[in-house]
Amino acid sequence: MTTVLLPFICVMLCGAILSALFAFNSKLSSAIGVISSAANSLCILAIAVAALFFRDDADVFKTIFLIPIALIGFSGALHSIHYIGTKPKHGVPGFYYAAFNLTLCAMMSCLLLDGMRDKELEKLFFLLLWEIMGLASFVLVYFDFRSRGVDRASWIYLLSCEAGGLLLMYSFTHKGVSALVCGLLGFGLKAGFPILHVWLPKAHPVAPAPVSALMSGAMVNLGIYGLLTFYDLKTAPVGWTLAILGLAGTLTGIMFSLTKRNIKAILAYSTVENCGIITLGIGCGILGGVYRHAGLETFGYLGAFMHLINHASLKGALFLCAGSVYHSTGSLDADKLGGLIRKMPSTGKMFTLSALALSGLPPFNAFLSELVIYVALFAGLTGTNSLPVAIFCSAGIIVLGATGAFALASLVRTAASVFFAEPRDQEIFDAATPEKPLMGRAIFITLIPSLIVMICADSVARIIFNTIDFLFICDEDIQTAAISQIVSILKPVCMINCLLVGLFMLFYGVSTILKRRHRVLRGPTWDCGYVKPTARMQYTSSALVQSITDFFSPIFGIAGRRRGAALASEPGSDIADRMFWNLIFRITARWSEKIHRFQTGYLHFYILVMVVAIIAMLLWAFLPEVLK
Amino acid sequence: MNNVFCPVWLANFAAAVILCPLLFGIIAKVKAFFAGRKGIPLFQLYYDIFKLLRRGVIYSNSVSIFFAAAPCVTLAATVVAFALLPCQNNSSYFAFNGDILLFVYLFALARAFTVLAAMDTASSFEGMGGARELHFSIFSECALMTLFAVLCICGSGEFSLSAIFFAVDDLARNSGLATMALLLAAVGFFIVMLAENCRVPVDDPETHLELTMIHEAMILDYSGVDMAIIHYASALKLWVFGQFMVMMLFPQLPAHWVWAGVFASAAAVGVVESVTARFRLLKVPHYLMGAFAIELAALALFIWENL
Repeated sequence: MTTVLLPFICVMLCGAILSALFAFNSKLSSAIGVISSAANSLCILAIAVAALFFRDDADVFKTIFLIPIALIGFSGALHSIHYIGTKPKHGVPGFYYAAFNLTLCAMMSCLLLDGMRDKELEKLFFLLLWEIMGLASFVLVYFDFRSRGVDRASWIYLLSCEAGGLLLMYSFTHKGVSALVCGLLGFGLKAGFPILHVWLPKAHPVAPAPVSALMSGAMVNLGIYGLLTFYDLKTAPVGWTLAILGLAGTLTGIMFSLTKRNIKAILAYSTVENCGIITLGIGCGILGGVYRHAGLETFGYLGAFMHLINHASLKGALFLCAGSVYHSTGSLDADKLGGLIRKMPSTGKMFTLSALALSGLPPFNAFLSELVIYVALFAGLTGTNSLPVAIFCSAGIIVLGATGAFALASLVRTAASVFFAEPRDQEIFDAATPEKPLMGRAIFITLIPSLIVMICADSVARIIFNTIDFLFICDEDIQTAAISQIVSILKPVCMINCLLVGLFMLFYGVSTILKRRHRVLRGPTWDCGYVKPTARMQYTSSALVQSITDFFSPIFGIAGRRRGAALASEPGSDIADRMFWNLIFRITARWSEKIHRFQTGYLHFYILVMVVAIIAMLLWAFLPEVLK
Repeated sequence: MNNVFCPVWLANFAAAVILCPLLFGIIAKVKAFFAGRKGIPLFQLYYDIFKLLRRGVIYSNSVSIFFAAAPCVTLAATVVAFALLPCQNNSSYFAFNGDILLFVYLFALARAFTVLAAMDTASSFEGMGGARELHFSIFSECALMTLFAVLCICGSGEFSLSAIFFAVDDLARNSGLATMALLLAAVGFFIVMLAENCRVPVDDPETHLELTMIHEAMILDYSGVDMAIIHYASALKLWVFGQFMVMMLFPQLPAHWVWAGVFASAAAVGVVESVTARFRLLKVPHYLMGAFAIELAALALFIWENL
């Protein structure tokens, strides 16, 4: 597959170079950039989908990761046409498109490497591409550099990319446990494992929307890909680590999304949650293999990869919707928006439905993949006689249930307060421009895989199963039994989903006919007889979940006076920031203070330090030999 | 999925669809009996629904299309959830492995649309109801999931509602510890049932003060046909939970006894409503966490028993 896709990647690279060269002419460079990324992504997408159906080798595994990149690369490029525009408002469009193309190239090339004969060389190239991907995406995050807060957020993003690169460099050059731990940390930084996730909610809000979509829908998956490709994960300790990390990430990710009011920060935390679900699924798969439990293994892996595709499609679409909102209103603050469905009807509907889908509700697609992971956990719970596995599976079931409820709260409140009811800030609403049809189309294109999964989940599950079967340890005939079991689950679910939709349409039709007999009246909201409700009296997105944030205030770091002050500002801070990173950086700062004493400002002193250092190094190098 | 439509199951389905509004009449009668009053007629909800169906609707200027769709989604989700329940040795036509999850997520779908519609009206009362619903649902979801883990262990690997209930029966006959754990789970389920169906001590559907409502606060702006659909859907939901409860305790009951059991569970709800007062809202999470703890205890018992 590498040979087929290489020309397209080369053309895209040329596109990147050309749009950077012609950056002085915004229109020309934008045109080159959009055409090169959209056309090449579309071709690569077509080839990857074809490979999924017609090829039957290890290469196909990579298409699961390639499809989201190509899909969001295509729709993101279309969305950028309006979002970035051709007038240099902030950064230079030419450089944006150059970096966008370059990021896409690097991400795709990362996946296409393993045809190489020399494994060490392959690792070197992977590191190189990984670094290019990090730097190019940093340029994208930093694109809007004149706005407030972009500096700090992109700095954190760059730091996390570089730290990840360093850890991977160590991991690729060493062997044993330390290499594995560094690999987990390095790829975990990209994949948004708990504690390492802090860059996500900071970088996503400031990045341009197509870039957020690309990072959240496709780039975090590459962390998972790296882990699965470069390490032997099939041991009990790794399985347990991933499973528990998955559980922790799922729950904390979605809980902290409740404290945010920036739409993209909410979505970024939801990415942490969904990556947690994917990690949980993979953890289940590994544990199932180690403990010889076919159900846990097959359903765990299968659910993880189905969820990966569902999440990429839904989250890509949600970020692009958020981008449309920002393009139209200039604001991402869910507490200040409202009623936007009147100005952007199709965006509003797609955002609301995708948000419901991402909460894992039937009849949408994420429910199906969560169902498969649930089935894995239930199978693990009943089919094992090991106490730790039973406890883990029950914990997993309860945590996923709680996560469903939290996700519902978090995403429903976002959709409701951005698109529904009355505008909370009339000025923003009045200034909002109507939606652009092209942006809506880009969002819809991103949602197509979700629709496909919804309609024919069983065949999708079968295809995914065939591409990931090299991960399995259990015997082939047990696997075949397991896959036929999962198909026997997904088929009726799809039928019942159709039934649900059909019943809804029936009821809706009948009720519409019944309503027709009288004139449908319009009036102000009743509001218990209060005659003059104002928009300020509505619940905002923060107010809607304030009772939850207050209840869990110790976790959210909301104390004393700030309890109940949800409306004033974003309450609470991330527990990983508060408990871990702040501590680390404070200790680093304290030690740096000690080094600071050497900065006296006298040239003589600096020369003295240098001479002493050189003598010390010479002694360190030659003293042992002299003594010998 | 089964390939045959079973007449008993169909009869049960029809009975529920026709009889479910009666449940609210029974609750009201029981409460009236405790209060020494005559109470509203047994068929009051039927009259209400027919009256509302004949009326026109009035929509707020603030609402979008989701507001009109929400009642229909709620009803469709409740009907489908009911269709998953088995009856008297007959598994549901729609049964499949894992339908318990669909069962609970369908109610979550209904909840999501109700909250969306409530927010859609731009009313502060409805937002308040939505906030409470979202808050309490977290705990009841945890309790329900734990219950399903318990039932799933009973079903020894099967986790469709139909298979579980039959396995429960075998297990309960054979082991005293399992019977105890099942009873615990049933108590927890009854607590969650009261919360999910917006009954005292969590929510009072007959309160006169909007500030104390949860579910009723979210539907303040509905009228006419939509209101009829909502009333009917909540009656059907009560039936679904009642039948779930009965099936969990007595899976082998003949269909007409199941109906009697559902009416009895409605009467039990009425008794609870008569003898307890509604909790302060701040206490509701603790109450639901109590249910969660009970379910956890049942789960621990089962894991203990199984290993």
